Amino acid sequence: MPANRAVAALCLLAYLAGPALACVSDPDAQRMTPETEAAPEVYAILGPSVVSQPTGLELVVCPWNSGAVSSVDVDAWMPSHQHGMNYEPDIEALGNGRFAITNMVYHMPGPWELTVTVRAGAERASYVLDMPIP
Amino acid sequence: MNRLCRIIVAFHLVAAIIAGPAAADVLLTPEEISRTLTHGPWPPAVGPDPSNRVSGNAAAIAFGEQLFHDPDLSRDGSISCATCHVPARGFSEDRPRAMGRVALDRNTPSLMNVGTHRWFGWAGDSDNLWAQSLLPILNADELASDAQSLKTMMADGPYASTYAQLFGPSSDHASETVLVNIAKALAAYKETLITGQTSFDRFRDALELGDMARAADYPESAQRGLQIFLGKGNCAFCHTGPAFTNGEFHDAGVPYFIEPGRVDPGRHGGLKALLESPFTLDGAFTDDPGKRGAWAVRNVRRTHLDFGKFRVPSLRGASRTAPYMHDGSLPDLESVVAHYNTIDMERLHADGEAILMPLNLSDDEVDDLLAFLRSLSDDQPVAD
Repeated sequence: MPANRAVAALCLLAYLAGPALACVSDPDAQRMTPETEAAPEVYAILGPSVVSQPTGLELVVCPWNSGAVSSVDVDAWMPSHQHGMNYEPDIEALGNGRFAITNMVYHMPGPWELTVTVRAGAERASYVLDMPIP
Repeated sequence: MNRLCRIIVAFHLVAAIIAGPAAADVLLTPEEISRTLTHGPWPPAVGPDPSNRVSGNAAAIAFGEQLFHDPDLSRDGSISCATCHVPARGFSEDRPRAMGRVALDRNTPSLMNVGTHRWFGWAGDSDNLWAQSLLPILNADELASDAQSLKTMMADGPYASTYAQLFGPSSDHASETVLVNIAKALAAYKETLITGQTSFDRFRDALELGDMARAADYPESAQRGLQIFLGKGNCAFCHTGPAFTNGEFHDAGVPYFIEPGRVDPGRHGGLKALLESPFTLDGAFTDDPGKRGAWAVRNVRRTHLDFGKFRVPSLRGASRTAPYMHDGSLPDLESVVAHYNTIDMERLHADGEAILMPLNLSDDEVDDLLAFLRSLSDDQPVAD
């Protein structure tokens, strides 16, 4: 049936358009933009976009030739307003390159930028992700 | 907003998009309507404060109200909380700077809706309402009392029975515990100080229900003022949510000088006091074993930009709480709008608050913005 074919095509499109599927299958995962091409893929699964209330996100760092991730720094700022958050987020390693980030507080609506720095051994890679807060 | 409401709002937003703003009988665009909905509903559903075991307790609320008006809480029986937090003035007062035993440095902040705050006082010296309530009791320039005097008062005076019913015999308590318990009763009372529904709220709720005919009852001038508030006025960056405040601290371009040679450090000083206080949500005096809310004091950042920042006040009931700003330097709402309309950029941090710049609103736009702001205060005033 044409309808079934259309659904199947949509499913295929959704599959192809999803994250690179290198190490994350969550359809809400957004690939962060690295500073350099050699950096491993990093995905952010954002929590609720709320203003001035603590929220969080999950970070997924795909396997890296430099070895196991030794640390992750996470922050956010509003480039157009020239200020960051008023609170330090908490970062918890969940294993397998996954990190739970809590107590992110975006205290104004508007365009925020999520910034992440990942370290493995002597290597370091930085990432950004545009994050509109309504 | 529950799922049904979301569906209804989405339906009406789509309908409004299709029909265009003129057919909706309101001036707002669908995007402005969507943003307007974030400023409600009001009043918010606020549960008891888990850090205060007498929060929401009717006997504690009545006890707290008595204490609030009782000058015997002060060292010499001369002033009470209500001396500065005047009920008929929105629990604020009409002088620019508060007068305790001496002239104080800041305007008396309104206590209306104080139970919804994350930080308390102009500089956020406290992360909970009971901790904030004990500061003026102990401040030598305000009530100037002390824990031992209060313990004696609770042991021998007319409050002994009520105190014992709520907290147990005061003779079993260290004086500091009695002080905190008194502050918790005061906090239980202050949590009940909530502004009512305004014409803005009726407008906002009508929009949520898609009742454009009822929404159109909101004056067009106030609607235009709301559009300025959400748009070119940049007001809604800080005055967010149902309480019209993001609860954080900003440099609003008001001079820091209290008098020549003396400055008010604002949030910088507030954070110092907060982090030295034993009365935070992370401390031993909270009644919440889970220490909910303590993330804020644990995670709050200190930066050089904190200097001269002050807490963003709620705009609800603001018409009743003139004068304005942390130092009471602006006598009326017209002055506040004029301040932002012609803001002195020289008074701002060089690397902060990039959104503040002269608004250059016309006289008509100023009138519209004022009409909107006043519509946040046309609820039934609190009785004296």
